[in-house]
Amino acid sequence: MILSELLQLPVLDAVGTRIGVVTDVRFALDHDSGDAHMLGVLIGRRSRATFLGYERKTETAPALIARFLRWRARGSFLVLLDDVRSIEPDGVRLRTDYRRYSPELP
Amino acid sequence: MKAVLGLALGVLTAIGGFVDIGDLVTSSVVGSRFGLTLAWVIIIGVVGICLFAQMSGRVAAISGRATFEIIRERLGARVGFANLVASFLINLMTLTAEVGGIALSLQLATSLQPTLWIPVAAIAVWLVIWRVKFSILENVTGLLGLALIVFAVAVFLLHPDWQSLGGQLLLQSPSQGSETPATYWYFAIALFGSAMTPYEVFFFSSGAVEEHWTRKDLGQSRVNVLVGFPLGALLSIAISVTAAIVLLPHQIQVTSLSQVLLPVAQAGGTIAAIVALLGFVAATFGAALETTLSSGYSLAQYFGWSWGKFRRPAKAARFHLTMIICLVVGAGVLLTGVDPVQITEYSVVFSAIALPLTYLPILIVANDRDYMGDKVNGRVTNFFGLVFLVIIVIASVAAIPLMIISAAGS
Repeated sequence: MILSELLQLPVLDAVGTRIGVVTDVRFALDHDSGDAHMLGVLIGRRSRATFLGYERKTETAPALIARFLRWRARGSFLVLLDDVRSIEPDGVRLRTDYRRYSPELP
Repeated sequence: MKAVLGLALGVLTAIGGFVDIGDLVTSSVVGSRFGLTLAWVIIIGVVGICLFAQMSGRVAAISGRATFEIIRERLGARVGFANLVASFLINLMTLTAEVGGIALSLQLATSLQPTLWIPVAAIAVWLVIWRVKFSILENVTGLLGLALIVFAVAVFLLHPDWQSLGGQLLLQSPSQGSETPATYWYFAIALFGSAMTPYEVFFFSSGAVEEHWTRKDLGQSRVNVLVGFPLGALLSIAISVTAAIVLLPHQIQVTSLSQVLLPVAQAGGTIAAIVALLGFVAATFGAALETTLSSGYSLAQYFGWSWGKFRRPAKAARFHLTMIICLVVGAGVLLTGVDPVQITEYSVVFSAIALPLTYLPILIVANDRDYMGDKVNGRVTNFFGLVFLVIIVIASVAAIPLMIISAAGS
């Protein structure tokens, strides 16, 4: 599966209720090897609502744009890959006890 | 001394390079129909392009990334692609208008049919892009474009009624005018689009990468933009004024490039007309080079191909191939017999429509500390940046309805 197939997929919880769509994917860089590995998926209410870089708390200017984009992406959350039960062509399914993390970056 | 010369050269190039076929035609059309009652738009437009060019130049110098690399990174592949398609098509339309402008200018100079000049113009543009160094092509056309100062001279030679012109500046309608509000605002957007054409920014930011700008060059680039562009806009206003003095009282509406030239010929005779024609050729040729390069820049930057005139053509083959295809398409469209002046009139309006697509990503990235470090926008720049975002979005949204209501200003 390639990344563009994962983006925009509907996300379902363990009982099959739709809780949002995949709006972005979070990667982490390994300090020693420099390799990137997938940390989790960002789930939003609407497919078009992305942060455009304002998920980083340090980025606050211009204030109006920052506030508007954060407001549009409100309700987004990060789910770690360990909490994802399956990724299939028709949707992403989460485990029963998945945890919602803040999508913000320091 | 060398630094002073470099600074002077940069400013002169920015003045001469500011005007293109869009400014020539739109300024003259507006002057002949509305007098100076729309001159305020040129002033707003030039503040906008100063802000936009200055931000994109700074982003390019500090981050090493040109406009479409930024757009792709920030908006993602899909939205970035929609953005690319819109920007690329409008740039192609502008390119067509500029090549048509060269052909029309050469027709005026030689009275040979423009159909004969179209292939010559397109091939000349290609040859220069293929063979001539970036700094030379930019400086020569910019300096020759200074010939358009003859329009400013013509204003004084025409001994206008300064009081009436001043009144028009303060929005008192000239007595001959019988235009509807929708037409007025439609042309306001056209004039705004002609001052803030997206290709200028693709070219400016890619040029910064071409010339390997660094932090040290920011001062010079700021002077070029903040002094050169406003002086260039004065030429645009001068074109409008000459049309307002000579054409408006006779209710002659500008529909061809020869009518743009008419007031200068009346004021200064054959010699003035020849100088103005030289300015036309330089301005349209320079802009044809810039739009052709911009077509290559935007496509190559989006798809991650190697690009730039600092590479040999064989090392940036797809970049050069894109430009050749665009020139062939532009020349082909012109050979069907469409009127370049009409293409120009539409291209400036579509430029205004597409402007938010490129403006917003640049405004956002110019504030991003990961890219810009301590060179992010200051408070004042951000204040104006947001004011212009609002203006640009309003112009973009209002353009199509106004085009329909005013029947494209006719």
